[in-house]
Amino acid sequence: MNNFMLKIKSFWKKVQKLDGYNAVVGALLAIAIGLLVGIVLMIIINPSSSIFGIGRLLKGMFNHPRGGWIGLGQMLYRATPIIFTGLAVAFAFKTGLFNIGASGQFTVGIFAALLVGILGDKLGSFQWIVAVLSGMTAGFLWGAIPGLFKAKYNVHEVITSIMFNYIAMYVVNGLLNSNFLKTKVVDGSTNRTVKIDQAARTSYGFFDKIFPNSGLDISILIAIGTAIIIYFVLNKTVFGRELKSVGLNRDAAKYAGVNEKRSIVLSMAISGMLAGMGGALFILAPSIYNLGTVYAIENVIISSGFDGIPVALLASSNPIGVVFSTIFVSYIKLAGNSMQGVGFVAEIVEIIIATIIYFSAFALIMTQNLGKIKDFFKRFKKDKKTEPVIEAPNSKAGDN
Amino acid sequence: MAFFISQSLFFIIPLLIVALAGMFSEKSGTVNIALEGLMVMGAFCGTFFINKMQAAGFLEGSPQFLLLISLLLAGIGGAIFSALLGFLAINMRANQVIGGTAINLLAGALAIFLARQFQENSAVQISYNKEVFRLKSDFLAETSPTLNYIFFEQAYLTLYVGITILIISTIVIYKTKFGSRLSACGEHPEAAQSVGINVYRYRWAGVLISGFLGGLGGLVYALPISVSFEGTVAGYGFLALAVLIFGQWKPMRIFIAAIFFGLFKALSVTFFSFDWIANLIEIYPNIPFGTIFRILPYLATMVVLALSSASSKAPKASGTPFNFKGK
Repeated sequence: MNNFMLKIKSFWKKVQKLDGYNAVVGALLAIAIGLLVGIVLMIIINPSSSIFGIGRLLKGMFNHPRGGWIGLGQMLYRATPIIFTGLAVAFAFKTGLFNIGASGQFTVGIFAALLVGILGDKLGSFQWIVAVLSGMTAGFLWGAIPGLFKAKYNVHEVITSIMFNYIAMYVVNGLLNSNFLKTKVVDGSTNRTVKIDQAARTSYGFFDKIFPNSGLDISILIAIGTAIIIYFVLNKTVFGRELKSVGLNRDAAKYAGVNEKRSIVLSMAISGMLAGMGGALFILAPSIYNLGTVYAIENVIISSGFDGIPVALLASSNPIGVVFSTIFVSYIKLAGNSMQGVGFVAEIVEIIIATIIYFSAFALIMTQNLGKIKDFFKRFKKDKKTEPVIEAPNSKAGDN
Repeated sequence: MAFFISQSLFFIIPLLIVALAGMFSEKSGTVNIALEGLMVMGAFCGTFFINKMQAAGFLEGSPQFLLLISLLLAGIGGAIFSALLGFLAINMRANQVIGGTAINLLAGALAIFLARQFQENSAVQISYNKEVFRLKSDFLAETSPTLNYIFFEQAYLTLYVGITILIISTIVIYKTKFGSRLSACGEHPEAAQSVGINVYRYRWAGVLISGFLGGLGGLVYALPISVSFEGTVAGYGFLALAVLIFGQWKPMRIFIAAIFFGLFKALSVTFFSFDWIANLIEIYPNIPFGTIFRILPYLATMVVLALSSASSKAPKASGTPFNFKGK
């Protein structure tokens, strides 16, 4: 028995030395603080029913009226597109770029995929694969634009990608409303696109048996597979190392013989491709009861791209971590929906997510300096007689 | 034409104020990606106050005074909110992009949450009567009716608030000790500290001014374009960030950048009121003029940026946390 404990201890020590250990502990700490803030908020605004609200918050997807199992399926279904945009943002972050334009790339991905999905009847069983590939291509090209502007003209990628979010939305909406496409792909009465052909929708795979009519299809497997591939590319290939080195120090990478301009364009393009892939799989999804998915032609930028930012941040831009952080965010978002049933505003969940991201920004710093904090408290224990040092943000104003 | 210019002012002035907000923060060394969130918070505080005061009939006789108080409150709301960014970026030396993103998320959620919590029927929209705030003056009506229409009849007091902020910002940045020291903290904090400047205080001042102007800009944006506020400023904070970079972190150039973008943006909503464009649309029904005019502001900005951005004048230490002496 003692032997067993020792083994666990040595295993735990190994875990602590792992790359992502600090990041995981930091994220968990931030999640705990965020949930605490949410719970306190609920107790303040409505003490009497707060206990039900907290229950629903923690139960997440298990609140689903058709049971937790269906809820689990639905949660994974909802998470799939965000995993892709999260991967897009994370990939760009890892290479030193901030891709805030995942929404635009997602939109062009939707557009390209729905064109193939509606008009490409002749492709037969390859239709959905071609649709996904064309969505990826569209995202790749759209993502390359901010990269080109950065590499060629030194324009910050944040501006370009914001601008091209708007351009993507207006161009896609304009094209869908054009004389050429309108009659074929738009349902005039609802101002939405018509549904994708039955043959072109992604398959439910075996999920239809496990999670019947929850909407979950094989896209989740593609998402997880993509995350693993991206992790592999970033960490185990020369190509990925090159991209990362440009992000760490553009000049140093240049002197080391990396074509830094090409790397920047490729980083943004691959990031865009991931977002475009998410858009394609989103629109090709058979959805709940095989009802299909549509794109609403509104002058509003799709939020999926922006949703990718917090999940990427929570995962410290680790591709595998993105899968978990997205699932967590989907979990409490479903909780938020069901909290409305007991009189709580769903936005509490958004507040919790924002709080988590806020604290994750310095939770990482806290865990990295865990040793220092321990030392600090040890010193504190020894000389209790001296005045306690209180960490207050504004009292430091006169320090230097 | 008068309608077009009058409309474009509704885009130009908030962009100007919010881009100047970003300038103060970045000049002091803190990247402020949270402008969007600060605008939302400011717009929320301002419109909520106007909503309650108009319902109570407070200051009914002097709407301009009510507007001034609301602008002040919007600014204070933004400043308080920006303290979240200041604490994270300056005290904790954490990643400012993450912090800014969190603040944007929080502001959007909080504005809707508070609106639903404190309004009847948990309504998201905070409605207000904006018509009472129009200046409706006939100051220049006799000499030039067009100018009067644009600047004194249809305009809001916010136009002059914006111009005042521009003038004060220019003076503060270029002509005062405070401005030079603020810029020093964003360019080379170590050097600033070595000559006895309290980098910590100046960075906090930069962030708080940024919060005040960002919040104020939020209300300036929300007021004229709608009759209610719904917890979003439609990406204007990010556009202001673009205007800031377009304007190379200089007040006057920011003003020009805001005018440039604002004119194109106004064109995209009023192009059909120009006769020659309406004629063109009739002649070439197959050319998607609507789409072209809608993407024009964004595309034109990109072209100008590509032509001018080769030598970026960004504050050198902006975005890098600073280790204060004695900590």
